[in-house]
Amino acid sequence: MEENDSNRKVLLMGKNGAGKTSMRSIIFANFLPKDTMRLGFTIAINESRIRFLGTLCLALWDCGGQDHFMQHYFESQRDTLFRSVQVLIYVFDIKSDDQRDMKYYKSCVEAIKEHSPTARIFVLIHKMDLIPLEKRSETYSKKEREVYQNSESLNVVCFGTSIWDETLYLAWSKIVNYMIPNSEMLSQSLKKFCVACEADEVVLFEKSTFLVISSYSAKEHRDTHRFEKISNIIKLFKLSCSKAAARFKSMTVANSNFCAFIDEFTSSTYIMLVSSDSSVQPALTQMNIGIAKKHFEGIVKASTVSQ
Amino acid sequence: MQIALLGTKKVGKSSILKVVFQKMSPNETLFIDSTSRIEEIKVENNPYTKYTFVDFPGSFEVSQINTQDRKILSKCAMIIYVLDAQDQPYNKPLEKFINIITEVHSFNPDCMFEMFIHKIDGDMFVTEDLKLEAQNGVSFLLKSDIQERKLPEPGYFLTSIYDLSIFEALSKILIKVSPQVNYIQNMLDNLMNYCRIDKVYLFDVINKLYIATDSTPVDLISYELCADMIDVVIDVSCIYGITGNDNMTSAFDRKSTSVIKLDSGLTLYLREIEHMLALVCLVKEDNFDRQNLIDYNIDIFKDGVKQIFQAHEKLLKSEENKT
Repeated sequence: MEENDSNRKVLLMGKNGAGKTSMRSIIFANFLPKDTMRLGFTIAINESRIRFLGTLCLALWDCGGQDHFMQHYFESQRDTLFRSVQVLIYVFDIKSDDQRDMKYYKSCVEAIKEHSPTARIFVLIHKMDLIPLEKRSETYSKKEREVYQNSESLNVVCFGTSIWDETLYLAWSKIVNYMIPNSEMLSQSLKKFCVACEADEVVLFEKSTFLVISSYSAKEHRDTHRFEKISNIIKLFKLSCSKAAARFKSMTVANSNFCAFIDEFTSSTYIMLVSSDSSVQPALTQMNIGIAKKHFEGIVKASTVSQ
Repeated sequence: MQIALLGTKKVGKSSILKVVFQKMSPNETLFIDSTSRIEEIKVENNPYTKYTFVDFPGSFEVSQINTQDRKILSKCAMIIYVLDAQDQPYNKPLEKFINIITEVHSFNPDCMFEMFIHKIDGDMFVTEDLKLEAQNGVSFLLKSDIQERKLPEPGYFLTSIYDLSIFEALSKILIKVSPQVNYIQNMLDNLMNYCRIDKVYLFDVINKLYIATDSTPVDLISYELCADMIDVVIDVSCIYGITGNDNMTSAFDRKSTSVIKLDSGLTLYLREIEHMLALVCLVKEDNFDRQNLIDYNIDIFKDGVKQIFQAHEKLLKSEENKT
């Protein structure tokens, strides 16, 4: 199997029942959270090719987490599995007390260190919704510490996630953003666009997953989780439209304090522009978005190419 | 405006009220306790509609009706009898329903009766045919008793808390008990014709029931799309549209509006009509080119609705003063 530069290999690992397949079904396959209840166990490795931002190709290896599979991964399949990996995502079920989980994680880290030392490791501490609100912070911190202790001093990033809220979108946005070679170019261009439109903030979303690719905020906002909340809100609405055999093209929402435009932008992205300045004419903003589309088509493409 | 919910134990009366009016997730209703005494839920989300739902415990037997129960039931404009469609055979609960209608009709002849054939979901009712079969079965079993005793014929609704069918049913029965809504329906028909709108709903933004709609049939898909649009508008407005420590009710204000364009050529247009009341229109994209005209007509509609409800209030007050 050819593993060229534009094919980014992502390993999705964790014990069975942790929620790996549910997560990727929601993010990449348009599942509703409640639909994931009918997913069965993943048999061996499920590889899916995902086209992201038009030209970026992710090879997502969803590795079934049952014990006999896990044994194979670290023994007979060790070379093929852990070679040329760009990202390892390890999923922990926060409710599971299984000691083997941390042992498997440690084995993954060792294998990565050996075969793909430049890979980045993301750890998702999942099913956080099952922990009562008042205990969440404490439980998460404890698990996070344990993960760091077992990470062989490699640079690991942890997230607390749940399929029932926006935390899933934050984690996956960060993961895919890591794989965009030149996202700095995008944020600089968005900044110019935001200033030119006199907007409060501008956010770029990937078209089918609605993960946040890039953003620029000219004004501070009290809710630091608003982007992933918007991802979640729009994604759910997209699925609702598909029940009516339609897809949404554009949306404006306003009240006396703000106006938000969400519109198709380039061939692989959507843009959201938020303005609280009532003197900014909506028609003008929409015109500006239209003009910027062509320009950004080239920028988005360029950002997916390694320098 | 009082509406009573009756039915045998565990049919789902309290669950219905909690899911629709108290934002409970359907899955959570599995854990609620049985209702032991009569409970009232008042719904007053906007200045135009006020109603009270009276949740009777499942243990209530009309044969053992006491003075207090009688008083409550005599004030009810409607009784909803909830039947568990998954609990067959239906003979015993239907017998109870007949007895309830007989008893209540004797002291409250104006009371309307509706049956919710509930829990019409899951493996037992996968297809539309199976659902209709249940409804036909029920109405057949009741027919002879109703005709014999010369009782008012009840309406039937197939409902489930796991989809929007319960919302649609409650919207329809609330319209039934609100005669002033007929005038609003006429105005909505006019609005539709003048503005070339395909379908329009006047929504209660908080519980997503519709207060009124035009005279074309309601299809669940368009209803669901509009209800989801309201969710999007409220959620986005709560993020960007409130200042400081305000809450949801200030996110939806006088200037709340939204336009959503779909690739099927359909456009959804939402506009605030009153506190927590929204007008949601489904328009073809081509017919939406003159938004100013639509806005102008909606403003006229807004005034009309206000006048109708104010007149209705006056009427109710004068009737109260007489008695």
